[in-house]
Amino acid sequence: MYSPLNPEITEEARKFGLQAVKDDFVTNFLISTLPEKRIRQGELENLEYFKQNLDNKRTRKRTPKNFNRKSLTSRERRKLKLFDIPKEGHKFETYLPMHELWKEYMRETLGLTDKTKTFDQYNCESILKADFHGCFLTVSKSCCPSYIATTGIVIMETKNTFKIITKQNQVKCIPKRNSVFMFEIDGHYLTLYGNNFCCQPVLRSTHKFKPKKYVAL
Amino acid sequence: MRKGVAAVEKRISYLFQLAHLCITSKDVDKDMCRYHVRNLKRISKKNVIRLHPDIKRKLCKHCDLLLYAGITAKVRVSKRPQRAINVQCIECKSVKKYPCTNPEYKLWIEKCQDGKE
Repeated sequence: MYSPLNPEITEEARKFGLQAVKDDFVTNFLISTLPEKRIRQGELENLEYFKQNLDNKRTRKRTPKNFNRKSLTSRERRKLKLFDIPKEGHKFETYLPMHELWKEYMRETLGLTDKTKTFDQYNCESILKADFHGCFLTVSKSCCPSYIATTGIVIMETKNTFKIITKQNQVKCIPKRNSVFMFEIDGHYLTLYGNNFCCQPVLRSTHKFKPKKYVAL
Repeated sequence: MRKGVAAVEKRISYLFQLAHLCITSKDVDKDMCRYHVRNLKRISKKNVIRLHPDIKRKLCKHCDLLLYAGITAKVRVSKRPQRAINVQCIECKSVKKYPCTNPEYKLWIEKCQDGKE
């Protein structure tokens, strides 16, 4: 069952005075310790069966715990790697219909479809609660000069970043801090100041934004 | 009605449409679909908005996928142990059962609408 040890190891063991354990160790131990009655009844034979079983272990099928729980745990979600966007293999064209949907959604929220209302600054409060997945953003100003003038459609929004796919089929991750974004609807240009916008997209619907001082970049 | 709920309801319907897009387009992207549906559920919880049962019936409770017959869901009819329509999510294998023992069963929303009329 097991391959023998290297001869070097056995030589060194002999120097220390160690001896190899014989296979009969367990039976000799049992014979010396058990009372005579149990040996006569034939318990040694039963115990040999148990001795062998230590090596041939059968693994039980583990059913997943609490499968009937209603939602995935965060560990399971990490295993599935659901929300990691791969850097290659995405095309800009697949996200164009998303952008068309977003335009219609934005027109309804800002009130551009109602011809009776005019487009004021006061409509812009509804942008704070709106969704930006599918928006065509550009970075107009930022502290880091390599981010400026990147444009693309927003795939994912997190607490501190926007994930954008550019026309060259590249996925870029742009932080919101210290940068200013701009987007366009029907001829109106709107700016977003990233410093004041650092919030999870889900929590933004109930968040009360405090007025922050604007520092020119 | 509470203030500002109309804006959130629009957002929920927009996210639902996005999830539909992810599945019905040529490149089926199940991860993006789950991402949008998860945001949908979290927004409705945060603002305490009850979702229409038609929306809820299309979402998998366990893994947050849009259940689209043929692509992400298996729809089967069973006679035993109970006469029901079973919708099973292909990814996580959790089952939704709609028993048809009572043909006069109405959802709460349908009862309300009939009562008003």
